[in-house]
Amino acid sequence: MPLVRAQVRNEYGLGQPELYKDVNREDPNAILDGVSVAGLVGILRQLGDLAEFAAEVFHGLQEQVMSTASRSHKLMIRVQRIEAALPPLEKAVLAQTSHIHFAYSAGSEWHPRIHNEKNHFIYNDLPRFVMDSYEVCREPPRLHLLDKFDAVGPGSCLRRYSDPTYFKRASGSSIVEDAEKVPRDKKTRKSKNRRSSHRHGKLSRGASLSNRSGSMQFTSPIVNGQTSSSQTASTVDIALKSDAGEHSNSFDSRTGSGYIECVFNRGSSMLPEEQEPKEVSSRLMQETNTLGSNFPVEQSRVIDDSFSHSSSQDQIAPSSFCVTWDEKAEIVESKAANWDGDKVLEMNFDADVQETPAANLGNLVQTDILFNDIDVPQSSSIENRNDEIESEPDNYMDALNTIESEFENDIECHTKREVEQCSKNDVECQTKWEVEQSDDAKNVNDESREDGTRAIMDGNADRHPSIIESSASSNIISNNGMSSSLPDPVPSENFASERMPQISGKSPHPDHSPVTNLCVSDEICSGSLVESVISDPSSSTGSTFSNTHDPASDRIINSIRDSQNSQTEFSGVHSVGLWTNGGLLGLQPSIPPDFGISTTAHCSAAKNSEAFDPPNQTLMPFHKGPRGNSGTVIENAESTEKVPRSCSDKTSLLDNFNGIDFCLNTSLPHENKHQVNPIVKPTSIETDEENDNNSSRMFGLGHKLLVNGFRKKVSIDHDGESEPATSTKTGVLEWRNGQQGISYQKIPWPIFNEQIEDGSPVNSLTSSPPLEHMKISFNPIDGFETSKLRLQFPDGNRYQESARDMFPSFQLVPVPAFPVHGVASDTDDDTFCRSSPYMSDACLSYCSESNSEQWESGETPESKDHELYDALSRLSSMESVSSSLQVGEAANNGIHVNGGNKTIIPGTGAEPSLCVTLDLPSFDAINPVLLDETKSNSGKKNQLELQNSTELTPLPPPPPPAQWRVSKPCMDEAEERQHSLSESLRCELDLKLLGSTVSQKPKSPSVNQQKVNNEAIAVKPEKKVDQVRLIRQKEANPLSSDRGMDEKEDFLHQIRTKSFNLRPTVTAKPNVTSGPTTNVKVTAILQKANAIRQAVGSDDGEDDDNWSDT
Amino acid sequence: MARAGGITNAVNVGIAVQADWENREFISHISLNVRRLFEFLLQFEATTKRKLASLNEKLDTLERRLELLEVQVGTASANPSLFRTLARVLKPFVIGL
Repeated sequence: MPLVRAQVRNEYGLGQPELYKDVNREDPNAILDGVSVAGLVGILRQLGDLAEFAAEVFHGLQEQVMSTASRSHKLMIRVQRIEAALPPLEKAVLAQTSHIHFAYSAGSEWHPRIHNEKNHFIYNDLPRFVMDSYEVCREPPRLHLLDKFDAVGPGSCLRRYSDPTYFKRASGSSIVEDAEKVPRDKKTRKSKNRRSSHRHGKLSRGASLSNRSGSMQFTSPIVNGQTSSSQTASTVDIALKSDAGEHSNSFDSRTGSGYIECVFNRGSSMLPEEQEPKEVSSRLMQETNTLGSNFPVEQSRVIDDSFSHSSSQDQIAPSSFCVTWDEKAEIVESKAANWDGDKVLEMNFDADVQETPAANLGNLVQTDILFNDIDVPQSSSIENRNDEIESEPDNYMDALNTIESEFENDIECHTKREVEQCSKNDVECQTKWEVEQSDDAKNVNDESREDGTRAIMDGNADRHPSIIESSASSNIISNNGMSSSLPDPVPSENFASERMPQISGKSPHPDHSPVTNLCVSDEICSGSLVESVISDPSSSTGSTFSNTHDPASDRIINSIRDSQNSQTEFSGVHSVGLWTNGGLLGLQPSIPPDFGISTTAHCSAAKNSEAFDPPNQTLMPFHKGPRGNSGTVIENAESTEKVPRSCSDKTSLLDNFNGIDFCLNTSLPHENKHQVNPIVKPTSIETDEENDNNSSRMFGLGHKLLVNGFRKKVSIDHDGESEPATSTKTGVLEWRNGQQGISYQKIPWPIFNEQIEDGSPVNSLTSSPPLEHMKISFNPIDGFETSKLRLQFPDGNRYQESARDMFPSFQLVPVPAFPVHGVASDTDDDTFCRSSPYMSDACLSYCSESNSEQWESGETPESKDHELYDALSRLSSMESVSSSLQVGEAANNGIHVNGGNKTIIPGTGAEPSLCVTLDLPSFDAINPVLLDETKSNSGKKNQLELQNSTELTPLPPPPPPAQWRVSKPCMDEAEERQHSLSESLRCELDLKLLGSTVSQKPKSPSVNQQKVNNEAIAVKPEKKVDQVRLIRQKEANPLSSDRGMDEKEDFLHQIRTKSFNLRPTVTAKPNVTSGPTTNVKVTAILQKANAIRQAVGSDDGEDDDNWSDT
Repeated sequence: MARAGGITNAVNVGIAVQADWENREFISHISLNVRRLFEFLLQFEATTKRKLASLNEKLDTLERRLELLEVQVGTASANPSLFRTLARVLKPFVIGL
């Protein structure tokens, strides 16, 4: 959007409408003529505007051209000088016979005069809109007329009138108050808006504030810089806009630049110096000295310049800027007038006072200054005047009640107190400049100030003592200014110029210099204070504070963060853990339907993790942590609700040190929380403690993770961690083995949680194995627990719990409902249900694991098969067994016991193997007639086994490239399985022989089918005989089995059936994979199946069918 | 008469309207040209200031170089060891600088 430099109005709009409105309506010519004349008049005005604009343009151009010309002229002069000096040098150089000695010459140490422009904004390029505000400001009063009465010397009066340091102090304190009273501003602004309307001819309070802020920026650098050099540089540049050495700057020529002159008195004094750059530099160097030494000289010059400039500027419209500050002085003045009844206003100023309140204020200040300087007690007639004035400023203050209203009131109160004290002091001794009194006043004021500051600081005080200190120092500073002026007979000077009395009164004295130094230091402190205070409201968190404050504040901040964000940090860490498992997150979508609530939690966690990962990874987690924590807390409120502080703190620490790896560990406690919150409410406390332990242990885990591999250690560590928490309740301590860590991780979860799935996926996330692995490990674990629970806890409650556990475990599978039915029903339907779960993933996992176990057993055929055989032998044949779960569990247990020493895979595989045994009969019972289905089922089983085995097998390898590894180990396992199966066939045949003898011949149509399929494999005739028997019994199997179940409640008998069923299943596996001729095909099928499964990523039974078909 | 008067009035009005249109056209032309002048001034100012700014930048570089030259010349002339023979000759120049 372009800026409007000049606006050309419509020519007809410029012409007055009276030209054609006042004409006789009936005479069209008159109307038209009037309109045309109006247009012509408008054109004339446009031309006039054009002339003005052209004049302005060319004037500005002329100035710039002149400045450029002067610069060029100076350059020419300098060049001429160099040119004149160069020939002799040239001759000398040419005269040198050998120039080698130049190489050894030191050269010239020269540094360009770099102006350290601390304030680029106010340097000499103030934009127009900023300069306009200065132009609008009124001229400083003609205080130079009073210099002759001032003992300090010329210029002192003007300096007292406008001391930039005063504005800085006052504005700094006001900013502090404003920042703290922002909420109150709303109220005050309303009243302000009402009252501001009453103030006509004056700028609104906001404008005054803006001006004040401008003055702050303008003056603060001077104070901060403390060295007058910066002042001079800036002021000189401002004053000497066009030419550095000439006073004829456009700025001075402007009307209303008095205020700027006031501010830049020193700078104006430097103007002559500027003419000679070298002198300026030297001058700057000199100015770096103490202010006191420079003041007299500067003041003298100030007087000269300011007089020359301001002499032409007498009456100026009262501007609110100076007035606002003068008002305070006025208030104090009025109060002071009560006790300073001796003083009298001069009539010269009375006229001004009567004009406007603002003028009154300024004049009063002037008069006060005069009185101070002169110290001439006069008639008491001023009291009346003071009363009037007092009434006026009150109203005026009412009008001023804006942002600062309360603060000003406070100041007034303080000032009143001070005034009273001053009056007392004066009563005691009216001597003018007693430092002792000032000190006393300081003390008193400091106390009052501190109270005020504390009240102001409110809650921040506790958090930020350093800020309080700084504020206190600032208050002291302000008080110093106040107190220093208090001993003065006229306290109003305090407001007008805090330092002025000191400077003026004691500049001749050597003691004054330290006082001024103190003031300066105080100012600096106040400046810092201002910053701190500004930061206070904005920064509810400690981050901003840390920037402004020192380590003390940092510590405070940290503590605050810990207190406030302990939960949040924890959540953030947890989220990070999820994030680190990003590879798993991709797999999550397949899980969500199973998880329900947990999935939502994970999603939120994932989101959080994305948001929070960077902060945790950064070196400064605290700063970033709290921010993210706020968001995380909201999202993960559930998780963080019960998070112990210790955990959070620890996690935070870990975040700092370990980074991502730690996050992985921390994810566990989070999961624990999820689980604990919904489920174990009564035991939440215990769980929390356990979580704490977990978290604490997680640290070690994180370190381990850092040092060592990723998966294994995670799993193992989790085992170790999760054990303490869950071991007590699970009572499965027996089963704990370092190798079975993954399974153990999941074991505790189902115990605590009704939804095992929630725990398991979380665990998987923490351990960061692929979801497939997670599923597998999880499901078998559930089976473990259930089996264990049942075995160990025959109580109904436990059994129910185990059933619950089973249920969620099956939920993971796409067909969740079946397992429940299977558990509940004891009839053949149970078998069907079982078969269906086999179709499902959970069953797949069982089957596959069983197969894998068998393969593994095949790896160690001697021990494993024997073990299995033993376990099977212990178990009775079972298909008719109604409580398949019990049998399965028992089998699992038995197998587990056998494979306890083995790695995770065997432990998990033991369960599925049993399940498979159960499943096969179930299939038979369901579809005794369909042999193809059995084939497909067997194929499915194999595929499932492959999947599961693949899932299981990849766990051991440390680095997890997820699916890729899964595929590879599957192949390996498949090959191994082939071998193992070939061996297992032999063993199974033996087993069959044994089993046929021992156990009944229930059904196992699948076995028969498999054997039929395996006929090509050339199974032994014994098998065929058995199969024939089985086939014969197939048709009658369901009924017979039911009968058997009804009749045989004997557990051992069931076990027998189980064992008998197990055989065929075992045989079935070899049938599928063992066929020596079909091994290659099977492997190819398995490979395809794996590829398809990876591609699809779903465990649906249909896919399994497809695999079998392929 | 009335009719003739009406016609004459109409003719007068038409003439007046035509004259008004002419006046308006004239005024619009003048106004347009005035606006063009404004635009020209703005462009002129912008271009002039831009050129002046570039010139000032060049002057800045020249000043810096000149300052460096001055210092070099001053040191060269002020160092008697370098120019033993012409040290006397260079003194006044150095002082002048």
